[in-house]
Amino acid sequence: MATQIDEQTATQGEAQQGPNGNGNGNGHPADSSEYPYLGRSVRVVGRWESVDASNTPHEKNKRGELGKPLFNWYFNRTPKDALSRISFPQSAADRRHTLQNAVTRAPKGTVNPDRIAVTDPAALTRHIKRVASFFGADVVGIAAIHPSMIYGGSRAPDDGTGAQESGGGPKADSTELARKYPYAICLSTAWDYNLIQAHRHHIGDHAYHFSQAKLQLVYANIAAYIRELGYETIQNRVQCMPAALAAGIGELGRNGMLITDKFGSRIHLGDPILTNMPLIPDKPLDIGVEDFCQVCRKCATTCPTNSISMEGKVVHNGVEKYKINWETCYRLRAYVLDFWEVCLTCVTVCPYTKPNTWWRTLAVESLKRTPYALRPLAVKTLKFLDDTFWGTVPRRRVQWLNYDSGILPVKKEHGGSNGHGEGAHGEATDPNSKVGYYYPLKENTRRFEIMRERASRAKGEGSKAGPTESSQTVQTGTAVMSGADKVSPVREGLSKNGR
Amino acid sequence: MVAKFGRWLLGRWLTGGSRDPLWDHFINRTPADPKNNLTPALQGAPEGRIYPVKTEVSDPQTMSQQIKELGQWVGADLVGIAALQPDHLRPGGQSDAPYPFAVVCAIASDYDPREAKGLGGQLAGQNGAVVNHHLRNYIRELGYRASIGGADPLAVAVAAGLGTLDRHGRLVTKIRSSYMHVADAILTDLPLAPDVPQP
Repeated sequence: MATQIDEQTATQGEAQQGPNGNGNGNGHPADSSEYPYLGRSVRVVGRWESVDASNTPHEKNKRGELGKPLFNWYFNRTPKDALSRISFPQSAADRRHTLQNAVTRAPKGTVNPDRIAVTDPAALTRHIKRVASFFGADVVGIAAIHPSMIYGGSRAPDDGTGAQESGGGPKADSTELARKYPYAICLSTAWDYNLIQAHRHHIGDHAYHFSQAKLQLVYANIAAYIRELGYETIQNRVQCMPAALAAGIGELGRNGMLITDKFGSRIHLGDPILTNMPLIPDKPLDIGVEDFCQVCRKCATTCPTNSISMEGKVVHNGVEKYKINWETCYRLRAYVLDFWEVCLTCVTVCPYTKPNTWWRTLAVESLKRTPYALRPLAVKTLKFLDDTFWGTVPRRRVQWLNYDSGILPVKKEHGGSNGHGEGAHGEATDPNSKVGYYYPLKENTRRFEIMRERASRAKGEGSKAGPTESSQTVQTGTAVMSGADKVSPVREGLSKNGR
Repeated sequence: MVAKFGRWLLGRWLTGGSRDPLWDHFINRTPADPKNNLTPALQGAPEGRIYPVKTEVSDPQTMSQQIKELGQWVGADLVGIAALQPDHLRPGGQSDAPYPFAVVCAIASDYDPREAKGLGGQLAGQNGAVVNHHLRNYIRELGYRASIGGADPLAVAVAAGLGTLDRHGRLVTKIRSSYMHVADAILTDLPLAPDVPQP
């Protein structure tokens, strides 16, 4: 069945390419002429393949391919902080204490045989969006699905939500799935702006993880409601990023995160719902992220692991976009477990991530309405304002529940309630200070480069290994440490002094 | 005031407002498959193990404040703490070791979950279950006992000073809302400072 559909679509594809002359002639159903428009920030330039779900970071880590510390971080961590233990299944002492576990384990209802008749898909789309907002979603969009947006490979992905079941039914062919379920409903919940000011801190973790739990619940509710209306839903099959781009949730920024109209990067993309309900898809957004990211680079200069590129876009999997080095980004987590679980620095520094107020709306709307040629000027002005009022790195002190980011984090081996708690690390140096302390500081975080250098020095081939590695990274353009390599002597000096 | 009215009007115009033909279906129609309503599954989520290391509570007042702040942050509109009295208990609600305190949350809603049987109408109940899930498990992770469902939530809510009961047996509070849903009370032995009932 699947092969028949493949052939059909392939012939249709060729027929369409004939007059256009855009196709590359191999008759693949997913040729560039058919690729959807994903906004200005992302351009499909070559052949865009489905991503194999088993090559996603969490899946690699589960197989132990990223080393012992990360493997242990994933499976064996138990934070000392009580709230962290209920916020996310992987960091729970008992998974039953997390909401994600309760949502995942809830019995799934069946599709209502009495399907509701749809005469006006536009009204139905409005209704679904209104229902999503009622359930608690902050941004809602509908994407028209392309086969390349669906995960390939034989496994369903671990999307980081802690969901344990791998979708329903056997894994079908992506072309067939896209034909059968042409729309994806993308939702997102925003993180609390005031709490994520404490990036690299447990406070930021909670803003992240609790909204993630909420999003999973909202998705489950919407899926249940769609089944109740008599249509089918499938989850755990779609890559959230391209679907959200197509759904007009936002644009892809330099930090590898989606940047939205109202909330900047401080949103979650969960696991979009594939459905066969007749809906009207949304169009990609243009809020000037493309122009902003060319100039700004705030996330790249403040990233603790230098995982964000200072350079331009690269072509990866046939898609031209900013690509972060996910491996270095991911690796740091195992070493900072006492202090935080998710970093969020690139989100916090992003000029788009601001409270949803009139002046923010004014800035974004004026940038939207500026002609492309004049946008660099507008961006420079906005970035100047951002640097002036919010500083280059936000270091606001946040006090929430029993947490206080004004307490200087000190690494301790054992004991204490959490990385920043009173019992663990004493009191704040100045009770009235407005400065927060976040671990680790930028200068000390060439951790992986230093580790690599030490390892190569220990092997006695330090003089050879360094240059060859850096030249390789520049050539391939996949590992984006090249920006960091340029300034490495200074940083190395700083880090040595720091130690 | 004018801006607020304008926004409301614009919202009605953009979303279709009451012209949405499916909204009533969403709020009031009983689900064909009861499993499509997640609320019972969340309310009946199993209890986990109590964390073996007890967190010391030096000041019950601060701990009460934390519990209330957390409850409000995860979605409750009002959180109250009451000293548990024997007449608050449901029959068979008390375990061998008695609980000294009860935490109760109220959620403002446009629909009464007892009357509106649709998935939308049940949302207040679900939000209450979510808040309870977080709070109960946070207390258990602090190393103290906590359980849901042993007490009459309305009696506890009145004792915790959230509001008073009207003659239909509904909670009346200072929050302007057509309905206040009171979630099940959490019984606990975490040292807390109980609130004073409203006169």
